[in-house]
Amino acid sequence: MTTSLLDIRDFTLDIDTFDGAVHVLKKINLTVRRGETLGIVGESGSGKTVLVRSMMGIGPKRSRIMDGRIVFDGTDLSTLDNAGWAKIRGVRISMIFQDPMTYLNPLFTVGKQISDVIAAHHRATGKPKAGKTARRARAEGLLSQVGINDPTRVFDQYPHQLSGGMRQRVLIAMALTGEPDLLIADEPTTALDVTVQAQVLELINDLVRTLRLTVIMISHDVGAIAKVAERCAVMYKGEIVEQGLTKDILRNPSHEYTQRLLAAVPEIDEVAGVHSLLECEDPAPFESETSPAKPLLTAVDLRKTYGLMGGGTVKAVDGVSLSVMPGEVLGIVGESGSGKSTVARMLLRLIEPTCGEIVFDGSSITGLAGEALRRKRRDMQLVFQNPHSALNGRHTVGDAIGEPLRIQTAMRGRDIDKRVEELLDTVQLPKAFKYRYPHELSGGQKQRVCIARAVALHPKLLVLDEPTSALDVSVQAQVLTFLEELRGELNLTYVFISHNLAVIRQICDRTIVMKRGVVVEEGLTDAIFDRPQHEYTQALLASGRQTSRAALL
Amino acid sequence: MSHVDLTSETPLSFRERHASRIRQLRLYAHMFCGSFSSMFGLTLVVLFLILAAIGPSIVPYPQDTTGAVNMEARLLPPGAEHWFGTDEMGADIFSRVIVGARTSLWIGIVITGLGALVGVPLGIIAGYKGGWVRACIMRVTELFLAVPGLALALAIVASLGPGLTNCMIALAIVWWPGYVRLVEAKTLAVKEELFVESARSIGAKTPWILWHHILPNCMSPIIVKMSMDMGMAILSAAGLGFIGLGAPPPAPEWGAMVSVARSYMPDWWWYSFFPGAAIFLTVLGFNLLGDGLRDILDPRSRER
Repeated sequence: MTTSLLDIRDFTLDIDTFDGAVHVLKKINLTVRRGETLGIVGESGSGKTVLVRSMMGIGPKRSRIMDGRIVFDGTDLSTLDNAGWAKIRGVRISMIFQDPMTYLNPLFTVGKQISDVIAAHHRATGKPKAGKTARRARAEGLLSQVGINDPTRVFDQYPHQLSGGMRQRVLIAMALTGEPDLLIADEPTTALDVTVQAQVLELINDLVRTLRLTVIMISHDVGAIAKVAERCAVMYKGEIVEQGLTKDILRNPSHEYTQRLLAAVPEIDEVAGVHSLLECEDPAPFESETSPAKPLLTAVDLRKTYGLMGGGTVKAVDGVSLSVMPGEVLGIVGESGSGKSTVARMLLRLIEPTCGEIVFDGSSITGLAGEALRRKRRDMQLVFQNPHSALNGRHTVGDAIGEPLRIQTAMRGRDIDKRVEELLDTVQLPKAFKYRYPHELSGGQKQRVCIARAVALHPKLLVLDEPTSALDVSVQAQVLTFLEELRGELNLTYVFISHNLAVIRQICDRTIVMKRGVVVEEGLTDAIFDRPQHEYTQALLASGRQTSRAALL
Repeated sequence: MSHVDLTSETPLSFRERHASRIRQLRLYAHMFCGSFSSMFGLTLVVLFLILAAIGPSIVPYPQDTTGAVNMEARLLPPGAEHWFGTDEMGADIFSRVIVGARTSLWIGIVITGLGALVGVPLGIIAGYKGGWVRACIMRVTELFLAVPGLALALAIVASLGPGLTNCMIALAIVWWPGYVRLVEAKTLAVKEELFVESARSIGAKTPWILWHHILPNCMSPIIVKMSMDMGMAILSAAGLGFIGLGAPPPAPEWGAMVSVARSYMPDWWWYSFFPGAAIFLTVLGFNLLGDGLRDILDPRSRER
């Protein structure tokens, strides 16, 4: 018989702020049975992280438990003092985090950090302190348990020498040192590439099986949740709006929010509605090779080489050639480190290519400098990955959107004001937003502001560098749809960079796949997705499909 | 979050347009008021500023501040007639201390102002440009920082000749390197931010980026440092005054007053005590104010 390991009853939490108390969690009821995996899905700001942090007693400062309790294996966690927590935190409940790099100390080897955790556990549980060799053996055992092939070598490495997936494995190994009953995973795969994400999820599944671990995993990615969790809860604005078996929720979501969330998940194997419609109206120019249409942007043999401190060089981009037709959406897909962002910046001459030629709108921009390059920038704009840091926090939205006008045109005062209002209209934001500061806006709104800024000068080409990867799924869907509309409205050409295959499929006409600075495959999006030729593309698609909606049902 | 209806088409009032700014200021005020030491510092500074502004017109013996001699009343202890007592020339110390506030304020403003005016642009250019420009600026800065500031100032005043103006020039010369260091470090961090690249991608020129993006984001530490430096500059100037390189007597300069009063210790304690206390309270006030400003302006030291 399975007993409940964690029982949350009517848990209500407020956080005091300057503007008064904010009700972050409202009457949360949740039960986790031993050996079970529970997923918690929700957007950013839904309170899911605050909830799991409260389970660890590391909730935000100035938070107050208004009502309810969290009972873990018979102990009421909401009344524990520090001494009580020491016996639970990290020993019986442990946690892994979103960004493995920031949670590892760069100054110590992986082995040292795990050994320290082992020693701390021995202290906390009152066991005699194990010797150095014993701890090393234990640490290596843990590392091999989390699927690291040569633990002896990894033991002596520093975090920066490991890949993102390896780091996350190390963090998991660390979390397992105390042989916890409950493992809380806070977005464990969000910062990872698709292929690595699939492996880490696989690992969590294995651990649940072999160690009879109980896992609570939070994520905004429904696919990831569905892969590991048999039961899941959907959080929305501090409430659990729906919980039950993951399968049931995915098949027939009952709450309106869950339905919206699921509908927003882009699907790898679904030919998107909007863009195929556009294609029908206007047969894609690149298909008719005979037509005299000239490409808007051509890059030939772009290379970027960085010198290393100890001599030697790194080839970030190694001979990439591409061309973009007017009105087309070219996708560049690849994992982190594949050089796709470097290509984007080289296309716009924000990074100097080591060699190669870029022709934009009929003229070479490779040799341009100073004023000429500045003028050229009007026609090509970049939208950044992270809208939160792409806007200067000291400028109002109006200043931010008006900035390109002030720099590039002779417009002044009233005219700029008017144009800013028009642009806000174009990106479907209220006019009064021009008085707001970026920190008052949500992620999706900020990205709209960034887009408004980018289109302010009527550019011909928009390079979008992962424009939606920092956003929630439902917001991502809105932004993508909006980008499609905008393209039609303003006659734009997009170069769309993403690691998310489903997004690429939804929006791009043609796609190139990059790996380690080289283009491995290139062609029409549908052709690439349906009949991938290169084995890397196949691997990418396979791992992408694992967490896609179709695989779950 | 604001509760203003953002969809309405009617023009917004001033309050509504600047709702975010107002809220921000209210938050700052709220946090500032919550700390006793910040408020104490602010009170001292405000008091000092008021005295500097209206001091000369409210003091009981204005003629005493310009060198009037009244030998009958020399070295009187504090009393109803002379609140802080009198000095060896029979001048009212209360009047002289209050009028001295204006000199001190002037010293503080000129030194920190000149220091920041020279140091901040150099720091921003060094941090943003990098390469040999940065190397040159930073090496010169380090050269200045390597020599003890007051000793260098002393040498400069000695060669220029004593006097208040020369004293301020000397201190300003040793003051700017601190700003270069601070601003350079901050600029190095800010220039890596995405919004700088974003500005570059829309074709902004370097001066535009420095003025609109880098400088506003460097302002908080600059303001904090300037506030603290006001105190330090007043103290340093008093130090130079003490060794006789500052304002010549009979100008009511606090450092010079303590210097003369030194030989009348301990029997005529009030003579050195009150100018000394004025220096102490002013420096304390500016330092506490700076601390308080740092607490509200620096997000890292903030609890929310």
